[in-house]
Amino acid sequence: MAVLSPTRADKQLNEREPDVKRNKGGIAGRIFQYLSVGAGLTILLTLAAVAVFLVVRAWPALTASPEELQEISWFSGSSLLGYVGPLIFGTLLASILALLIAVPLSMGIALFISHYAPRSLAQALGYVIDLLAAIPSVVYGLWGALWLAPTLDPIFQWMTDFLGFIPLFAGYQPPAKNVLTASVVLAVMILPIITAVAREVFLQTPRLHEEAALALGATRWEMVRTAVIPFGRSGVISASMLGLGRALGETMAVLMILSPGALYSFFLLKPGQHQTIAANIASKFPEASGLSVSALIATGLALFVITLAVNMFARWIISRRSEFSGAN
Amino acid sequence: MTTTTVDPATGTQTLARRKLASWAPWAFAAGALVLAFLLVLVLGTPTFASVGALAIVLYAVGLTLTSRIVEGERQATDRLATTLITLAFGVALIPLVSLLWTVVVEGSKRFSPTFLNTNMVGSSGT
Repeated sequence: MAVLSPTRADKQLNEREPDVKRNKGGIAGRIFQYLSVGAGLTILLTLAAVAVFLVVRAWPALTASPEELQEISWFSGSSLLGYVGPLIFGTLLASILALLIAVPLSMGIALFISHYAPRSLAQALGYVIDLLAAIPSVVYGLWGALWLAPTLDPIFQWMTDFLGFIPLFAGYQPPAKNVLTASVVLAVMILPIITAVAREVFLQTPRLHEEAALALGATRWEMVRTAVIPFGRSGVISASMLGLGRALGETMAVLMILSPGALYSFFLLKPGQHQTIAANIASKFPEASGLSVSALIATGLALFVITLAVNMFARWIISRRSEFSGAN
Repeated sequence: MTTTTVDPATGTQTLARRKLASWAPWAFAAGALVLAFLLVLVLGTPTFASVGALAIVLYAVGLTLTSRIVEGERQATDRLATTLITLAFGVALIPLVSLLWTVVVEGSKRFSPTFLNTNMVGSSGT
């Protein structure tokens, strides 16, 4: 990594630059400053308003006794924590599985577009992958239930027949409305985000590093492994975190595909074992009232906290290596 | 890399390593497709997916092994990486194509001026 740190000459160059901050640029500059600060503050205020709303509306459920909560018809578990726990588990399981599928695939696609595809085609191929981001999640849900589940059925059957001794793959029951199918759809949905960021980061690899590797006799893969991937690592990590943030909150596709359950279960191929927070809220909310609304909002608060933590973690990684990342 | 090989044609020593011809990957791809089709035909009925998947495996294994014997380990790894990275892009196209296909084929059954001009309020599934 020593090669990548800014050299002393670079630092001196930066110090010699004129101090931009001190030059306010007259009235227009000042107005623009107020506008941009205001825009930034709006985001913080919105975030604070969401947090306050969630806490206030979830408060009745947070303070209710377990006996009161038991009166909600669909309530499972002995306390609010016992109810949210399996949902958090299901959300994290589906998202992390999606990430495990999507990240290696995205890195391959990004490398293909940035370093392998013919130059004249690369831009068009990038747009093709971006198209995946333009598809509404309800269409993904339809596609997952109507096309993907029957397509995956023989593969899952094979997995449970021959790999069933591994508990993860045991006990498959058709139709394929299990957490793995949902994760595959989530992986397809987060592919374009991760690919787009990773592609931009890989394209920013200094040409001299690449040419130096090739000049030393490296093959194309060795050039990619020694020059491109180390340079893009932090960008790929932050891209994955952005993808994880989207997968955590995805509602419609999961709701339409996953057969729900409330268990801490690692049986990826069994239906009726898992449920995610967002899909659970969407399915219960229309018929909820009073305390049950508060209980649902409390689960939403949990999701908000998790998503916020993931995104702040991603931002922290990006800022740590900001001078090399294309994601900021 | 510093080893010298003897060029069989001229009998002189050369620094260049033996290399597969530039058309070799295409030949392997065609060969893998034919072989996969014949294998699946023997074992059962060939489908687009089964022949394609088997052909990709045969292509990757065949090209990598041949390259390892002829060109050496580093070039073989390079060819395997090229195959896998191209494959990743191909895999990403599967959902895109199948999604467009599903939506157009299923949707075109009902899509008509009548569908667009009919009030759906109160209608339920048949």
